[in-house]
Amino acid sequence: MGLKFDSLKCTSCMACELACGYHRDEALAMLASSIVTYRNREKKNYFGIMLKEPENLVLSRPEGWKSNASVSWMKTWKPTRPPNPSCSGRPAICVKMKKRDLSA
Amino acid sequence: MEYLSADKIAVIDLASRKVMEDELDEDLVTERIGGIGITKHLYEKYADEDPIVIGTGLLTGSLFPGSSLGILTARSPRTNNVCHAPFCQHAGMEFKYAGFDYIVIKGVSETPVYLWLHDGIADIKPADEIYDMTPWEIVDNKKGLRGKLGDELIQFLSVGKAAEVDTNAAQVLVNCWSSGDRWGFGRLFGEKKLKTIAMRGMGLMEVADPEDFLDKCTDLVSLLTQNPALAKKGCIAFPAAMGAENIVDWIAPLVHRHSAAFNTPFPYNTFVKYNEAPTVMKESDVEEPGVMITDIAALLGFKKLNLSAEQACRMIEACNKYGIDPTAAAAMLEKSGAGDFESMQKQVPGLKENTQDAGTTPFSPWCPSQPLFAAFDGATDAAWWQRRQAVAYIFGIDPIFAIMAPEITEAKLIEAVTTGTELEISADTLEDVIASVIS
Repeated sequence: MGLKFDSLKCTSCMACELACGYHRDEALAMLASSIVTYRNREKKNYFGIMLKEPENLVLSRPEGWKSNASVSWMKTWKPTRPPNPSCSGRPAICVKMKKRDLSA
Repeated sequence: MEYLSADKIAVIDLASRKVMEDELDEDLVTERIGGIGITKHLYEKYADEDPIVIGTGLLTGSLFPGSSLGILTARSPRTNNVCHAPFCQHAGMEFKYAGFDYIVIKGVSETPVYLWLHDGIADIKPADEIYDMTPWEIVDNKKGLRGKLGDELIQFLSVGKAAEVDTNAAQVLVNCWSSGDRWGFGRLFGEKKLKTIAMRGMGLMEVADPEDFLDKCTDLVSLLTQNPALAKKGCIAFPAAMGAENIVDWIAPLVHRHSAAFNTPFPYNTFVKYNEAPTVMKESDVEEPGVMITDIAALLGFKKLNLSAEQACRMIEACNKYGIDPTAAAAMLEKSGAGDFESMQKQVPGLKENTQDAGTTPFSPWCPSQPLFAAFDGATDAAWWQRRQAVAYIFGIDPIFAIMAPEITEAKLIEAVTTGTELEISADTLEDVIASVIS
């Protein structure tokens, strides 16, 4: 099973984050998830998906896909846990971010 | 209570500044299930102390589709009846993950306070610094509480200045946006000198049979993919579905994106931009590009006053910042002979009519009163709507999603909580709880 994210179809419902945490712990806990819904800019309605990888972070943003992010709010961000061992061997854990190029 | 629960009820006395905590008793859950089954029970238990009870359902925050609901239960200043106001988006989930199933807020604080719910702790904090802030300022990542408490994901149930004046239309907002509070609960916050409830959840909830629970939820999601509602987007599609005027073309030039409440497959919140181009997708420097339409009746109410789409949306923003129910505000302006847009905007901070109505139901009219997009078996009259709302409010399901999704049956809800908790909860129990909350 895999997930593919199209950031413009994301509705910020957090179902993917919840499912990932559940897959890890067989319990309901978002903290354990490798998939994180970025929803920190609520007034701007700016949201998307982040994927924690062992040495990397992949962002599925409204304006496009980005890896090894260097935007300011990412600089202090650290994954809370390493990826789930049960996900090892699968490409990009279970997530494939769709690349999108928007000029807007 | 071991499963699908934070196992905590907190009784918060704002007068004495004391917080009493108790476990959530399994016997109570077996008898009352949860959600408004228990918030109403707690309201009656503390009724002499004019409480505001906040809670969630057993399925809130879970994998079950639509599990976004949190509920405020109190005596409505508008109807003088005990009523329930839904709050969704991400706040219902956050309340539960913050470590609480239910809180009872009683007493009146001498000075302004706010509640900070986190890690199973309920802190009563002085609100002097935020008391004059609008709900929009309270959530601000820099100057507001998200900045002060150091977490940009904190969710809020806030009131604005309307809560300090004599109006039954003062609303409790979810973060910046209108909630399902059509009962004037904002006034109760104001009377208690409670400015906001800040919530952040890092908790974990166990599931009794995780594999079977997951199977039941994923089977239901598969069924829902066939639902015609999922091809639609935004509350702006509601009026046409209800047989009213189609407003999609009217509002379309402002629409940015639609977003969903927690784990809810239909994104009914419609964000509109009017301070920058709605087509802008990357994060810009415009701090407040627009507003989230969370209550379609409010938008229709302002449209009825012959406003343009942009003006109607700006009126909702003004109401949100003042902390007044925008649907009630539109009705007040209509009644008073509103005038033009500029005049209406100026009137918002002075709106304080004490609207009273008899109230025929304890459930918020924020949720449309008929099925949306999908067909349900049998009659879909007022009794159907009331029962559907009762069931959603008991289990923690988004009430609007409940009227779109006939796939979510009472039997499936009972199966899910039985699998998730291992408690014996029967259809007869549900029937008893529905009867008690509707009466």
